[in-house]
Amino acid sequence: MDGGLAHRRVLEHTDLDPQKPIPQEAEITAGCVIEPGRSYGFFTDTTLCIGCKACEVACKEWNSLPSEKGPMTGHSYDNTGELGAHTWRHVTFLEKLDGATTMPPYQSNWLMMSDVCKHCSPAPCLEACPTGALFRTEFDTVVVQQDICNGCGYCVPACPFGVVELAKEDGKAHKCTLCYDRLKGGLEPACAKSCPTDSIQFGELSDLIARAELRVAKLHEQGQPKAYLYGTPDGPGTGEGLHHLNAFFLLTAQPEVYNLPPKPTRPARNARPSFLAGLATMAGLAVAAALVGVGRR
Amino acid sequence: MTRWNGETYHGRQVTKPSSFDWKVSAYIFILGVAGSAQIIAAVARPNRSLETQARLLALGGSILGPLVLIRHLKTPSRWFNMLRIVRPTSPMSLGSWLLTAFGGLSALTALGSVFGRRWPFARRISEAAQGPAAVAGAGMSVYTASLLSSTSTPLWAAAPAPLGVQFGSAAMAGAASALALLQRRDGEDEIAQRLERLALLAGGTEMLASQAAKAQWRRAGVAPRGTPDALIKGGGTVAGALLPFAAHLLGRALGGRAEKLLPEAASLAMLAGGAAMRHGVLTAGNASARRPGDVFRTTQR
Amino acid sequence: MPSLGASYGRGAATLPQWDLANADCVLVMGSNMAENHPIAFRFVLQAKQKGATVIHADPRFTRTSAMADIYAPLRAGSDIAFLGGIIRHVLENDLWFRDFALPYTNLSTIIDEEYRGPEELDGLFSGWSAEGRRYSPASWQYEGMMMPSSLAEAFIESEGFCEAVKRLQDGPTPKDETLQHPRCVYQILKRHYARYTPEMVERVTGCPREVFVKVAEEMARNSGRERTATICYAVGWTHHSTGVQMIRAAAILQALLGNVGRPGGGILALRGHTSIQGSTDIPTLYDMLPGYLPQPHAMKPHRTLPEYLESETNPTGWWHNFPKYAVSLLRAWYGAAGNAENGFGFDLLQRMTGDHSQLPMTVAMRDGIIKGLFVMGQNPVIGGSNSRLVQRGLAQLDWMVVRDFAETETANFWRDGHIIRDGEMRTEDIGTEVFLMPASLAGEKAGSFTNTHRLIQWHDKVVEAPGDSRSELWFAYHLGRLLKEMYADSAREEDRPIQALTWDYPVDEEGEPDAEAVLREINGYTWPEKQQVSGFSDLKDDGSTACGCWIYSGVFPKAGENRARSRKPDGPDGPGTHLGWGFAWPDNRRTLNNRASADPAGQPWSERKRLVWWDEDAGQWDSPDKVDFPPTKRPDFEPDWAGKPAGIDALSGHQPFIMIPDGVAGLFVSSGLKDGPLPVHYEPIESPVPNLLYAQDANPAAKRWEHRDNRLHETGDPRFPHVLTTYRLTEHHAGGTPTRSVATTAELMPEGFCEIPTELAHALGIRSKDWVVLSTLRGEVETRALVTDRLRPFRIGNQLVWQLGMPWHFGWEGMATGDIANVLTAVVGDVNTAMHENKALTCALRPGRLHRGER
Ligand SMILES: Nc1nc2c(c(=O)[nH]1)N[C@H]1C(S)=C(S)[C@@H](COP(=O)(O)OP(=O)(O)OC[C@H]3O[C@@H](n4cnc5c(=O)[nH]c(N)nc54)[C@H](O)[C@@H]3O)O[C@H]1N2
Ligand SMILES: Nc1nc2c(c(=O)[nH]1)N[C@H]1C(S)=C(S)[C@@H](COP(=O)(O)OP(=O)(O)OC[C@H]3O[C@@H](n4cnc5c(=O)[nH]c(N)nc54)[C@H](O)[C@@H]3O)O[C@H]1N2
Ligand code: SF4
Ligand code: SF4
Ligand code: SF4
Ligand code: SF4
Ligand code: SF4
Ligand SMILES: [Mo]
Repeated sequence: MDGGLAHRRVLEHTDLDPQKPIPQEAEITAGCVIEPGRSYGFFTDTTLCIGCKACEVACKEWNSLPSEKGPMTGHSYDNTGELGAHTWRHVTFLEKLDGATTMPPYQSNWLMMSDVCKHCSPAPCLEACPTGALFRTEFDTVVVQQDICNGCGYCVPACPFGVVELAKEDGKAHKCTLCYDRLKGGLEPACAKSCPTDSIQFGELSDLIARAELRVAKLHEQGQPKAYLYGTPDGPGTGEGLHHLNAFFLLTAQPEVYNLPPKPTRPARNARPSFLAGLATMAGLAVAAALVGVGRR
Repeated sequence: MTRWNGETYHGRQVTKPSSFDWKVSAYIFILGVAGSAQIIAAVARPNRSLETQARLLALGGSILGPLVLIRHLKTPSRWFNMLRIVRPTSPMSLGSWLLTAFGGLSALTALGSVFGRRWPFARRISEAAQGPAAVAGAGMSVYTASLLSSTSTPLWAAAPAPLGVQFGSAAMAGAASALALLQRRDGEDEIAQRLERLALLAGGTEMLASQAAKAQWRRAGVAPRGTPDALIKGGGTVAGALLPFAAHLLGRALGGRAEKLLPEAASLAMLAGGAAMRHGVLTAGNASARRPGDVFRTTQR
Repeated sequence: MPSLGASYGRGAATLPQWDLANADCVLVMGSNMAENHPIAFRFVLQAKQKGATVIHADPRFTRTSAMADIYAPLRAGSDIAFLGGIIRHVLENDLWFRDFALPYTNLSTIIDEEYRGPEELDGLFSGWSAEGRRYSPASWQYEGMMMPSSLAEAFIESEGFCEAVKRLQDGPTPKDETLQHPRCVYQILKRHYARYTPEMVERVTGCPREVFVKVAEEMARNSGRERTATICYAVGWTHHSTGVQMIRAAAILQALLGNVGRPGGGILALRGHTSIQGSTDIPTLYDMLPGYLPQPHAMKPHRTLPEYLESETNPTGWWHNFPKYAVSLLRAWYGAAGNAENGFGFDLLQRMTGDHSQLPMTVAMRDGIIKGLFVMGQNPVIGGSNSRLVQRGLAQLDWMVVRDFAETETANFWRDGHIIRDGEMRTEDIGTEVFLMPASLAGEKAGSFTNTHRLIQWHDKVVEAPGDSRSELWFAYHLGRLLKEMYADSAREEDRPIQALTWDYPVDEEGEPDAEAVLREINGYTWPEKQQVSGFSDLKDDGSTACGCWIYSGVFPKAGENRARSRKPDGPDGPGTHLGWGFAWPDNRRTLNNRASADPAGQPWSERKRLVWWDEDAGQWDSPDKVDFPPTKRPDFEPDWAGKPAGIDALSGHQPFIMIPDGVAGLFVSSGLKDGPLPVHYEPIESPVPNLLYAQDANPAAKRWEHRDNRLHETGDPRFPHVLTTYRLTEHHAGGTPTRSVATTAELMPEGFCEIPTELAHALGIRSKDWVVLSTLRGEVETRALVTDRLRPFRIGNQLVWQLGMPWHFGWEGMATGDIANVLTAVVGDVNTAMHENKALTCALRPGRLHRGER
């Protein structure tokens, strides 16, 4: 992405006292001002991902999340495995080599993608949460309030992407906050800021989508016809009731190989049919009960 | 986009299984029985003894159930946060309120039965509460089905309507069986037989619903396997319907003490079967959430 | 670095990383750039987004390959065959940039008639002495004159050297512009590489012919007036017994294609540690003084300062200024103690007697010759070749000081080392006294980094170091201070150097010396007034100036102006040379030899690739960069040979390589390199296959240390059939202490492993995560298997060769542990740099675990 604006702001600030924080630093690092009332999200462009995992480390460092060191998985270079209570960024690695030497442009023989909470709109986890611990912030992101969560665990099966999880330690649900604390301070999320290749781009949703569509067109003309967006309105990554994902992706292979469902849907839509069918049954059985005359003496 | 070729990401799970275990199954079972008991109570009049037993059964359930449920919370001390908000999109939120209402109403109805003789006003309150209690009871019997089906767990989400019918009829079968047993103990064999007939009817419904669910699951490609599958079959179809039918027929044929003992065995089988079926569905769901294939098959474009 | 020095005049990257964004083609070869230089790789991706072709040539398909348009698989150690093939392709098909290469390289220069090449001598050059196992470069010289090297050591052992080189001042070097003369470099090159045909490249490297040709064509297509291509390399090239010549081959190719000194064109040497470039500029190397001045040698005419200056000063080219830099350095070190009698203190400098680099040092420790060792910011038990030899060596020491922020494997080898685990030694029998001292890390101290493209950047102290941690500066300063106190009143001659040393850095209340004071001295000042000099042009050879490192001069031009600290990037509309950001040596020039970005007449080769041009009206060179050329020397200037011109005056206005005595890029290098004037393909010292190009298998001049603890494998030894290469993972850093001892990085690559090609794994019944044992005559290691298609078999000649890869980051300390790859490697190396050959050796592989002797 072109940091034109960003550079200008750098120039303005190079004379500033290094001790003082720069107001709206995101304007320099991500080229966008962060204000309540607007929608923010991530455009993760997998064609620029070099699998360095800086995003994973930055997230754990900023949020002081514990390490979950296990033995090596043997799944290519992915030793993280999956998103969870203590892992809010996860870089996937899938090898599809078959001896290729010349390849369609942009990593299509060793797929890497930095996965994260999609901050869905509407968000199934939030819709399931009975306590209101999960809420939508002023930046249109989805966050768990730790002091309110009572560990009912209902958000876990609700999430179509297996993101949110209960921590063994405190029994509460944890997931990416889209750096709520940093956004409040005008800072770009830690993972995006640390990404050396701008594979993770943070910004206002409308800008990101526009930028992403241009990128797809560019890739098509550069000889990568397989490039498409996952999670933009009505595209792959959305389905009945699930309108769009604030954290969306540019992919070059079918979603399944990135461990993403092609057409996730809004679980809450199942509530009515099952409830009504159930009530009808009960009505029927009530009548039956009367007819068999359980009350007659 | 190209059709899925069966390839997964190193065979890893996509969605995460719920943390729901036997406690949740038990809760579903207990409040199913309690809820349906209130329906029976509503139609039991003028049979006071049955009405009272039904109301007390409901009250008991609405006290025991929550205790089990709270045990399943990872932070039980914060169970009351459930009543912080009303979230219309969350069956668990609505369910919590419904449970609260049901508990209260059950208490009121019980009030009339217990103190009705001494304090007439108590009777009047319970009369007034009985209708709403029955409606809430119906809700209690089925809302757990919508709770499970409004998730991204492939098996739970694949057959919402049949699941509602399954859970509801199982609840009624359980309540009727439980009361039948009590009536038999009181020597009210005739009432008991009518309740047993109701139970068999509900069991039959549940068996059909189970078949419907099975069919939908198979079509979606998320058919349950192993133990959970056995629990659903064994609990829902065999113990929940076929065995009881057989027992009753046999009882008739043999006559004598068998005519009393076999129906009692049938009622017990129905209660056990209902609980087993619920646990089967719960665990089958958790297993399907772990299978990437189940998730991808149910989320194709 | 000698390779770039010998070819272009300076041993450093020719362009800044960000200039990669201007390239039309980037060939990454001998580096896994995306994993080990992610920030620099950012600019490769920017170029790619603009449509550039990215090529990765590597034995393994890596995260860099995943980003490339073309991936060229090749067997470890076969790069010269590959690059030689491209050179041949370019020459045979006339794809080279004639207008550039003819005037700007020594392509037309005529070589001595005594010269014979490997095509005639079956793998050897003329001048080889079998008993001395070394070359004499006498027959590699220009016809009728001797070419001194532009590297640290200009002197060549041969009688009458000084007279012979003086002939450079008599007139232009012998040339045949028509390139017809059979002994002109062009004809020699064609003969030399004639046999490097695509077929031969495929047979030797294992790279499919069509892929190789595609690479060659892309490089050629993206070169010329309108387009430029860059080559990025790192230790995938340097870690070979032919490492220097691999880089030479790249230098020859880039000069032929006109990809030197131009935007988006050049050779980017990706240096290692944050300041590894700095540690060659102001060297931790034994054979150089700061600024690439030669270390006095006991066997050379270096007895006195005049003799040293006489024998090491090039008559022509910029290095003619050598005396100014040498004398100023001596003044900085010995100050008032230096005088006419002792040659400004030259007599106090110790003389070297041979190779004192890490490899022979290791052997010397093992043999009990070296008694004490300082290990500061190193972890040789993991990083050093032949780790068991290193551990045995450490066990022979009397004392060892380790300065690190954690207890490294080097610090506790006596407790947990292989020699202990194997029961070879018992802890109680090891006499080495180990002092482990806490070191403060970068953020905990002020100082400068010199990054991969010579950019000196200052960093301030941002946090207090924990506990008793101290900086290197603190340690070195107080060690020196105490030594001076101890020897203050000694009368012994050998203690003079310590007594004479100037050691007057101001310290703060904690006793921490002022790092900027050191940088001020490095920049240089007038003597004795101590007024900062503005740059190396101010330096004198009469002792009136002092300068710690001439190439850095200008970094601190006046009191209070530390240019390494400046942080002013160009704006989006700016030129993009970012002259306001840090300070790049020399003289803040960002692109070296940038005079070459203009044609001989002084006009840019094309608007698209405009960088430097001659402004006739102003009568000087103009550029958004600092011009790497005398500012007002006209493009049409010709030396006045009648007046025996010296130094830069002996170079014309269209000879951009000012550090080189004849002002042009050295395709054929007459002196300075110990293994030949041109790159030749040799097999690694350990190889499963013979050399298919010549009778000579390995580099004859390569360094070998015969030692019972350092046994080598014969070519094609059936017991060790596989090629093994070692490398890095982006998740860990070098010896791993900084990453394996930190939870958030340790979990990313939690265990050591060996990458095994799928087919071989199947044949041996190995699955990922299984234990496997790798062995060589140096030792055995056990590690996990990672089975992958990213490594593939190579068909070499008519033989199938399997290649294994093992990251070398792991050890027994920290949270992510694994066995040490360097237990397998041998102490052998490149003759020019004494750099080890850890990128290509042979080994055996078997499934299962290693049963070590109990303690
Ligand atoms: N993350 C991270 N970054 C680092 C470091 C680190 O430890 N971790 N270390 C720093 C240091 S000290 C250095 S020196 C640099 C090193 O930077 P690199 O040179 O990139 O490091 P390596 O991974 O050792 O080797 C690079 C590649 O060389 C390939 N290779 C091996 N043999 C050959 C060969 O014969 N020909 C060719 N063409 N390729 C070959 C290997 O397969 C490997 O992919 O990285 C620096 N950056
Ligand atoms: N087989 C094989 N062997 C290799 C290589 C290879 O590719 N393959 N690569 C080679 C290369 S290129 C290199 S550069 C070497 C690297 O080999 P080493 O330099 O021995 O390895 P490092 O781990 O980088 O050692 C640096 C140590 O310094 C410590 N440190 C960090 N900062 C500071 C500081 O400010 N002060 C002090 N006192 N200590 C500090 C770190 O904790 C670490 O322990 O390894 C070489 N060895
Ligand atoms: S991805 Fe899952 S956790 Fe994240 S917002 Fe969507 S539903 Fe919630
Ligand atoms: S676990 Fe916490 S966040 Fe998740 S649904 Fe229950 S209360 Fe809400
Ligand atoms: S946005 Fe913040 S919390 Fe979310 S993944 Fe990135 S760094 Fe972690
Ligand atoms: S930091 Fe960027 S490039 Fe590195 S893994 Fe994460 S997304 Fe990929
Ligand atoms: S770790 Fe430091 S030196 Fe290495 S790439 Fe990242 S920023 Fe550059
Ligand atoms: Mo290095």
